[in-house]
Amino acid sequence: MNLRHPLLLPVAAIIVGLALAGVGLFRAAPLPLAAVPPGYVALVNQKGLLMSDFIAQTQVETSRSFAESTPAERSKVLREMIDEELLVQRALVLDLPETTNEVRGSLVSAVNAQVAAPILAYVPSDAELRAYYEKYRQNYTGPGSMNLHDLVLHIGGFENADQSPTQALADATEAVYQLRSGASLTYVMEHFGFVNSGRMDDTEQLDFAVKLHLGDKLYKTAAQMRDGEVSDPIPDTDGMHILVMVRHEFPKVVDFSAVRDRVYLDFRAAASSRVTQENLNLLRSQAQVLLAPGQSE
Amino acid sequence: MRPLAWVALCWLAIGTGSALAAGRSVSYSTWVVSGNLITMRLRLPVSEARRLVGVAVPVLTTDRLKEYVLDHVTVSSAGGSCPAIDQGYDLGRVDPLAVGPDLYGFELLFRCADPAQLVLHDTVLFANVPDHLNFARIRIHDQVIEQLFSSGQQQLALPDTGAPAAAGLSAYLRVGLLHVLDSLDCWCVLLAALLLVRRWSDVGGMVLALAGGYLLSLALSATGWVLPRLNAVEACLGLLVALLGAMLALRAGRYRMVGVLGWGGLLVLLAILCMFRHAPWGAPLLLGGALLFAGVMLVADRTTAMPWWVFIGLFALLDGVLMSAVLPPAQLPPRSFEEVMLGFDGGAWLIESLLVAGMATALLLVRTQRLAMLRSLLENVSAAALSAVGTFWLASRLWG
Repeated sequence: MNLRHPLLLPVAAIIVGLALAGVGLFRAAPLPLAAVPPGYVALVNQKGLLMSDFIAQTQVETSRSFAESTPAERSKVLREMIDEELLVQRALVLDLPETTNEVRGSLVSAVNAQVAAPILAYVPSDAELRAYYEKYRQNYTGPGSMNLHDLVLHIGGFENADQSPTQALADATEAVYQLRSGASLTYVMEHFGFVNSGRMDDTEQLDFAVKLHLGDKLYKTAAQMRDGEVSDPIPDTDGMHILVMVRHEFPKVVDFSAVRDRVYLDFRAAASSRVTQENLNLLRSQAQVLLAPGQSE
Repeated sequence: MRPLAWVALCWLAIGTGSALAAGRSVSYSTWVVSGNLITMRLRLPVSEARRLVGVAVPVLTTDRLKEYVLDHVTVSSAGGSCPAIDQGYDLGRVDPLAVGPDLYGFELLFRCADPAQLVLHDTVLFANVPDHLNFARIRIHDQVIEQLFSSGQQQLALPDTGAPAAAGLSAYLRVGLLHVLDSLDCWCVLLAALLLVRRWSDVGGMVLALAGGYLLSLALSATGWVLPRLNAVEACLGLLVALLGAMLALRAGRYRMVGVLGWGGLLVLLAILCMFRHAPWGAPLLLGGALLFAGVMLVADRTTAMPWWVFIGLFALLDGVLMSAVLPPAQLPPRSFEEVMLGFDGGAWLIESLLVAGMATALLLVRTQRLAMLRSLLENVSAAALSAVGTFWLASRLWG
């Protein structure tokens, strides 16, 4: 062979060029999987079921180690896994993620859980928890309580048909003046015609119960009142109310040691929420979102 | 100058108009006729379904496609239209099937009041893609035949006894023939080939090169050992057009080394880009192209002949494998597969050979001074245009 032949180099270049181009142009044809590859327990429509998943599932269902499970138990578990895979594949063919709210909700939860998993695996130190507690200490208050009287001067009933709202307000203002001046509750009620509204039972109740019984309007005033204080007249649907606070225990921030578990849970929830939002921000930055005319988000 | 400007404008329109148009548009269907019940399964590649988005389907979801398929696949008989029947559960009239990756699958059942004079109608995609083909397998009266639905044949009448005639070699020859006439890539390569012809022997060499390429594609398809990367094949067709343009420009011998180094450098640069972008398969393709081009030009430099037939043969090989690449989902029996490929490659070869041989013969026979000047002008403009259009196709198909 003459290595100095003038055509040797160009012909070699052509052959190598064709071979290189062939590498880019073609790929080996994938062989259909006729046997289950190592590490898998079964193939369902060419999709593999992992042996590790099979072992874990068997242990969960039998509450024993895989080695201790019987062939019948393993067969049952494998059948269930194949059934599940078939149904999942069918769900994808039916495009359920696109059309079914429950499936969409599950997918969203699964993605969020996957994103948050590394964060949730991290165990925060006490110092980090305490710093979080200090930052959000207003969230860690114990419930307050109060004992109060709720008097009402009804307007427009058959027994007080002549009472107008203006007159009732004047009477209530006078009653408040007298109560603040030291008149007894019984005297004021008899003199001006006030009655117990029945919303409170004159016992000490937790804040949330008071709010439930009094309603938002009266509770808003009660929440600001101190021991022995008498409220201004408050018009409500059933007449003119006067609140007389007997004792008010305001909510207090609870010590860190008492709420450590709550702080821990809140810390994790906040971290999870943060990474979920970051993931969404990333997805949005990579997505193309078009809104119909007139729509906004 | 005005004619030149018009030629340049035409080339620009051609080049931008078919940036990504080299692939085959096919779908697959199976029809099983059993008495008055006809079961139809359609397999539609995801890439083909995407062509419907914004035209026939607003958003590509299985539900939307189901509606589209229901509207475009029908059966009629002597008793009138055969309705698609509800398949129970929550499926409705179109049952989506799992038919493999990158494919949508649907099953419809038609029940005819009178099973006589059955006619199958398939209009899926033809309105959007005129050169779309549907490879149909029809089982009727215990016989199975292969047929083709195309924009020219959107319905098929079934006989009341026996099976209809199969599509046969002639139908596939026609597909190959029409494919060449519809393909701008083919026209560009044929134009370059025509301009490269200088002697009678060149015409024979070209016909042989085309035959060799198509035969090699048949052999590759028959073994089934390798599958073409469609993106790479389409990009390579662009590369071939560009390199044929460059060969035309450098054939005279002037600035040949500059041209070889320039093209080689450009291709190496693109190969490096490919390695860092999302087309790693493009790197060996481009490096191979650079070596091939350099080798051919060196041969031309050291002998009097330019072995351009290597490019023509490679073009025929790629054109052939493009069809074989889309056939596997049709699940044709080996004999039918070979028939399709033989017909397609044969049809393409026949028309290409006839075109090149006929036009080249005409050019060689009429050798007047005026024609020589015209040819020289056409060569120069075409060389530049082929290089530009080919490079544009290469880049757009690599990163499009």
